[in-house]
Amino acid sequence: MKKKTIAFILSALFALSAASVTACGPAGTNNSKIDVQIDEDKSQLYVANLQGGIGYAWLDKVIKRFEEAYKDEVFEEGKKGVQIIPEREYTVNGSYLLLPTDDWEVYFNEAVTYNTYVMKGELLDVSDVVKAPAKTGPNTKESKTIESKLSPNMQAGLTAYNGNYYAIPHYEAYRGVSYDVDVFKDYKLFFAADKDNGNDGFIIDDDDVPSVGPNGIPGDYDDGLPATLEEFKKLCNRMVLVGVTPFIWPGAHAGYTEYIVDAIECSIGGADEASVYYNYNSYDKPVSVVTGFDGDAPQITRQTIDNSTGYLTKQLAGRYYGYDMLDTIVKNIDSYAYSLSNNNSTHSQIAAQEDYIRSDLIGKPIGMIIDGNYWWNEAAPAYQRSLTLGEGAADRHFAWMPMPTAVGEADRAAGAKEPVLFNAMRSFCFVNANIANKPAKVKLAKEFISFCYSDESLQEFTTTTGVAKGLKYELTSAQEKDLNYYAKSCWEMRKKATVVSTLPQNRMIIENEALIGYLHKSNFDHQSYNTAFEGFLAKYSAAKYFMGQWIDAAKWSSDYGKYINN
Amino acid sequence: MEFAKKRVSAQIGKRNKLIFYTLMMALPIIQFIIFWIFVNINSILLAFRTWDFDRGDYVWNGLKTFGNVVNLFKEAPFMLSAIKNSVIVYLIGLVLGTPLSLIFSFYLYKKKILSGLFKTILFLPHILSALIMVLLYKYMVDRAIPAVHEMITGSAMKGLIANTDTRLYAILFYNVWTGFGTSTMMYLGAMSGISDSVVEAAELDGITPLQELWYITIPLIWPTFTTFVVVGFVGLFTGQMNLYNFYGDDAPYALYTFGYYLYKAAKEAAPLPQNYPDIAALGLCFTAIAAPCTLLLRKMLDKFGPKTV
Amino acid sequence: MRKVRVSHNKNKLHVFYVAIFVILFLYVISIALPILFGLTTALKTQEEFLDNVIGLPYGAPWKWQWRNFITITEQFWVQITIIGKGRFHVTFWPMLINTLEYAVGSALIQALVPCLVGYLTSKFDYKFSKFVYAMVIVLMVVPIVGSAPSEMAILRRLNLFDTMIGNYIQKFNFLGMFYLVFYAVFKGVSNDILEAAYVDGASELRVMVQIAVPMVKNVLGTVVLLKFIDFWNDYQTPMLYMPSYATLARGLFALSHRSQGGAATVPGQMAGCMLLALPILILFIIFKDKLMGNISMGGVKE
Repeated sequence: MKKKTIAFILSALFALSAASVTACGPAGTNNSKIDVQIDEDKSQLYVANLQGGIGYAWLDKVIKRFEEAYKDEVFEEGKKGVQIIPEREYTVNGSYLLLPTDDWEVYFNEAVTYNTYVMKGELLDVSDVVKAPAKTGPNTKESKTIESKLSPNMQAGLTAYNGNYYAIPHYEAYRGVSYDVDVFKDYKLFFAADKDNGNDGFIIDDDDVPSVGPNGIPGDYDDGLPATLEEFKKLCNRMVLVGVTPFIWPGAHAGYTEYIVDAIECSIGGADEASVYYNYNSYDKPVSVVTGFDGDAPQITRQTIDNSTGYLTKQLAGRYYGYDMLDTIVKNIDSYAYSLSNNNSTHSQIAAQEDYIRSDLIGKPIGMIIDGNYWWNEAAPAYQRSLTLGEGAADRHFAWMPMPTAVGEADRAAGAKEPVLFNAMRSFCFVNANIANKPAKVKLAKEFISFCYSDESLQEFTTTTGVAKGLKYELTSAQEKDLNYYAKSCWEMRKKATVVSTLPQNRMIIENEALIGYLHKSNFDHQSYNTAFEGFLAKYSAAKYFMGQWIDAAKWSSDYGKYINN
Repeated sequence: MEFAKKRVSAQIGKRNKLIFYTLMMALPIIQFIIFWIFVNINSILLAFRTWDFDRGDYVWNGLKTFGNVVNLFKEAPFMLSAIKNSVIVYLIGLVLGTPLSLIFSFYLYKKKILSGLFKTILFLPHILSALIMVLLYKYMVDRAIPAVHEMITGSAMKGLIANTDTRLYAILFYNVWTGFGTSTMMYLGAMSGISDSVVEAAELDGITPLQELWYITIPLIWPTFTTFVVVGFVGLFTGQMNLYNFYGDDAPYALYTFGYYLYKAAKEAAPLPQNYPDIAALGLCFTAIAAPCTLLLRKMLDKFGPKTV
Repeated sequence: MRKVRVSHNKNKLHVFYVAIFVILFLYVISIALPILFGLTTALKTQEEFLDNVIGLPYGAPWKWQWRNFITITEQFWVQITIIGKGRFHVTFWPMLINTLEYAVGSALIQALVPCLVGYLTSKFDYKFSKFVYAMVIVLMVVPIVGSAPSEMAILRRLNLFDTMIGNYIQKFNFLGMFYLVFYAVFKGVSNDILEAAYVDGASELRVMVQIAVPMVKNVLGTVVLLKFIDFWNDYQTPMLYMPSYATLARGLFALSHRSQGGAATVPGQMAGCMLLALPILILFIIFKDKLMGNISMGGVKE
């Protein structure tokens, strides 16, 4: 009886699967509704868009414009016009693509191990697209080249392997801290211009003149925010005093706490210093290096780093100050952080975002969230849900928080200091090299990506997603006005900031990419720690954790000797 | 004449046996050659190659890569604690998990009260999949237990996984707690194959349940039992202690097991052609140690186990 | 048989079982609590969950959020794009068919193939059998990673990529724990019975199919069940090698990764997981005695 059952099931299954083979190709969708039918009269292009917080509305828009603009264009014999078929929620991230056997032709993906694919010859050379002006239609183009919209760093990084471009930056996102402007206002957490106003330096009335902020310029976006780490710590204490919890981050992912370290490293060390982490070379620019500690105080020298002294990368001062701040937070974690942020395995980033949005509405305000600037996109459903929480729930004001640019009053630079943003996404647009021998496809793919990088397309991307593409372009004042409050604050920052990219230009790093993985790992006392947070929880000091990352000079020479010029 | 006939038929029987054996083995072996050997041979051979940046391809490198394996260990100070964790999780499985699985399946085999319910419940973690079980467990130990503690004592308490001092034990507990499904079911399957007459004869002698388990049941399922002991031993080298399910790719180093380390090292090297040979070499070295140990254990279990009842 | 001490106290017989019963009962409670948590969470709104994480949902049971289950079912769809065919909107039922085809077929293959090879290598005393056995053990400790690219390449070359038959062929391997189990179980099967069948003139195939395999059917059934559950919950393999076959597990994966909609909430996720587990739970309760263990009547025993 049972054998018969098994035999029946087996034969039924084989009949089914055999049927699927004879039906020419996959049968998994046999009983399903078709959304997009292939139009045999048009040329097709397949585009894979990584699923995630950025969504695909922007892609649908650009496709619609492209198809319209190219509707009379002939790419293949006997066909007219273009049909672009997007995989809107592609699931494989850019580190694990199997490009040679993949069917997709154009990709928008993140965490892309760019140089690896270049090395293996798996990306199509798009130098001609990058070095030409962006297309706005079959016969129209912009005046300036796409290359001119790339920062010098990005140009150097993309062409470092062999001088050609194999990708164009997709979106840009920054890791760091955002703050609730309303909480800061309501609890008077801004610093006043008058430091000795009898209120510990914080504003007393809403119309008090705020301090100049981290960039040293009065009357702009960062006024009243802490300009030094001393002030930042003072701010945290003040928050606790007035009943505001300073920080929230996802307790299940201790790695998020590194974002504040990275952000401080960028703002105190500056863009040149932060870039050293991805090159192990400062390219003749002097940077601050910690040579040792005198008690708790770091001994610092200014010097340049080249391939022979690449090990000094692990001794950059900005990083130490980042750890110092995080150490302060962890040592006071019960009062400085939301309770579930303290290592709780159930507290995801989505949960942290929702708790943050709700906090002020339920009378338990939290001042700052540590997350990427895409958090506001991810939190859209949480924001919708929060609308039931009474008055003011709809009109929220969150903003990107520039980090302090100095340690204390003493080393505060005179004059203005540019903000620095850390773009850790490695998000790119590229074309699969496996279409190289199909000229019509290549032409179509190149037209499409060029079209995606016209100013119009870049602007459309930002107005749709609230996030910037990794290129230089402006928004019209009307477009800027239409951005939501948070996106506007990020855009404002970006206009003034230098953006640090994580794409190495140094051949030594390209060949040893492992050097730029796990930048926060530390080894000491026969153990390794993935995050400083772990180390600080275990009661180690910032100095000890920092020194646990240092590389021995002799070992450096023996490991990387062949990259060191004599 | 009778004798000769027998011999001829025995020879025909022998030949038929071989033909049958060959025919039946052919498909699985061909499949193995294509989908294991063909698929993996390249990544195994990578241990003897290195990435040439100028050519953009691998070139032969002899045994040089194996020298790097030592460095991999030197640069991993957490390795000692990883090995310690692997041993702990293995031993706990052996001294706690295995005996419990055995007595549980014995209970079910004897169809004592509520066997049906217990069978379902023991299997439930497997049905729900590790992903959801881990999620539920996290809420239990990091939210529910602290809340109950606070209700009773009035003082706050850190969750058991949130607390770095207790998280290892919380995860070890999870491994035992959800690990009964497969082994219990397999033991049960083997036990229910035991001939009723043996058991009935023993029962007539007035055997106690414990004696029956020890003197009859275990010896009769000995091959199945030792298979699980061997599989458990393999876990000593490859087991991840469910770390992936708890932490994804970001498990704290202090919790690493050897298996998780291997998984991570390989996953990180996968996108980087220049790093892959080191991992391939590590894998081969590791096999050279683990495989003989496992085979030896297997041999010893066969040798010293009960042969018959 | 060894000498067995005769028990004088009949009650003593039960102490052992009582002890196991107590342990098992505690175990049931320990499993029931988290599941209860999952179920009650599935019946809350996200708002309520944030306020009341571990308690029962507010209000009377009929006021709980039973709608969550409906919402999840409604949102249970994936988009599948196939080169040269277009984009499909795949809903629950086609996914269920794919899942059954995938899980049932793969489970049967992955139980029967190790069973076959286990039988052959344990009962046919050739050197090759010993080699296969040792090889399986060795391969269990070989850490193989990153084989996906070459596996993909081979499937494509053989025109088996993204086909169910290709999946079955991929699954047609005997390596792993269950081969060892079958090997062990067949080792335990007395040769006398098989010999008797040969003497009666039965063919090799007949002996294997009609005598040997039925003797291990408890184990076979258990393995089928275990494998079935694994494949039911597996979303990664189909996603990689059969992208156009959306299965339920993949649907749940897509659902939980979609940032908008009900499943982005904890209650939504719990509802999804509980729904996915429900069919196998029912199957298990129905088949647990048929497929495995405790068939003392009718089964061939030594």
